Amino acid sequence: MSRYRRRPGINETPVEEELFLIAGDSGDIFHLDQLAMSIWRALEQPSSIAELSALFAEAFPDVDPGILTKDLAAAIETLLNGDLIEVCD
Amino acid sequence: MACRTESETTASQATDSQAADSQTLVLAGPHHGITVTGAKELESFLFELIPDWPRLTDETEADQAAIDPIAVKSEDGHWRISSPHVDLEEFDLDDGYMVANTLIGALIAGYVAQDENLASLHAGAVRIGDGLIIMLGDNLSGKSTFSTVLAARGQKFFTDDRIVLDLSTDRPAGRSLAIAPKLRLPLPEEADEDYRDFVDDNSLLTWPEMTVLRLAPDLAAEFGGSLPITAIVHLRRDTKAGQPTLTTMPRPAMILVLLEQIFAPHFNQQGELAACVRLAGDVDCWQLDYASAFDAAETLIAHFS
Repeated sequence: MSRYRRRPGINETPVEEELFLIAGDSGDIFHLDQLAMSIWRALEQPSSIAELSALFAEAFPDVDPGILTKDLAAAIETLLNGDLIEVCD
Repeated sequence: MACRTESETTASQATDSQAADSQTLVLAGPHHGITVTGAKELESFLFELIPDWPRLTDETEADQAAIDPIAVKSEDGHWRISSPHVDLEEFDLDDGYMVANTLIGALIAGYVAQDENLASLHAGAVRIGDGLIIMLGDNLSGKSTFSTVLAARGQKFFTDDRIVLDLSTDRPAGRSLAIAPKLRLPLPEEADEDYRDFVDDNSLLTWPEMTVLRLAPDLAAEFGGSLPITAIVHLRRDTKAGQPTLTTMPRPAMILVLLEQIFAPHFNQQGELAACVRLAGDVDCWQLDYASAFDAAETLIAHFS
């Protein structure tokens, strides 16, 4: 299963409980909501979706695991599309 | 929009771009002049829209500004404007008002580019109480209507479209370039008689779809007039809304709105974000949901006075 990591050279600007990222290559600005920001934080250590799902299931025990995994996959896709993270293995 | 004016007709007839290029205007910037070449034919119309923007005659300032001028060229009734600070090459203008308005955009870019602490914000701004209230939103969100309704009700007008942000001070300030406000016609059905009289009394140029106002010095800030910003209000028009509601807006949401409206040719995206974070952090951020600007203007006056 693929694992993901942050791409280098991404500039972070936290604002309250949310985060703005500036991609190093394009200079594009991305706004992360709390879920995406949590994933970004978690990807300080390379992780797979399964590992992230386990981590988030522990943090949000009341959320349906299927919904959680779906939301995580969508957020990972967004981060990938923005070139903010990359597959590392 | 098919605005035909005497100035435009004159401009359309100027087909010799070489001759036009030989004539220059030098307008005041924050530190030195901003040179415009080829705009002589537009001059009378342009200065109807920016009547108080000082013109410089000092040769030293003119020489310095001429290094990288804004260039206006005309050919067969079509106009192009090139600027060292903003990409306007896509414009192929044949409308006098649009030419002048685009040139004003280039002038604003040239103005803010002279100072690392300046940026331009696409917004309306009016003094209420002791501070400046910035109003922004999407096109048709009501910036011009709000700005002029508030002016009609005794609040000092700064702009209905573009304000210069000064981030050099402890509290960000807004600076007026005294650009004439413009309104779409016909006025909204709900416009009251006082407002209609205000527009009639202050109309300078009128076309079927639009009117440009000239506000007297007691109604509007002078060129360069500056005031600390008290609040930023995101205008959200909803014709089904009931009473206007003013609610606090989370900073991240306001930063996203500001990022859409800020312009600073000398900033990279990191700089733009930093400016928006600073602005949203230093002043109160509000969202106004409203159906009628005429009702909601009272909400703003009552809250910020």
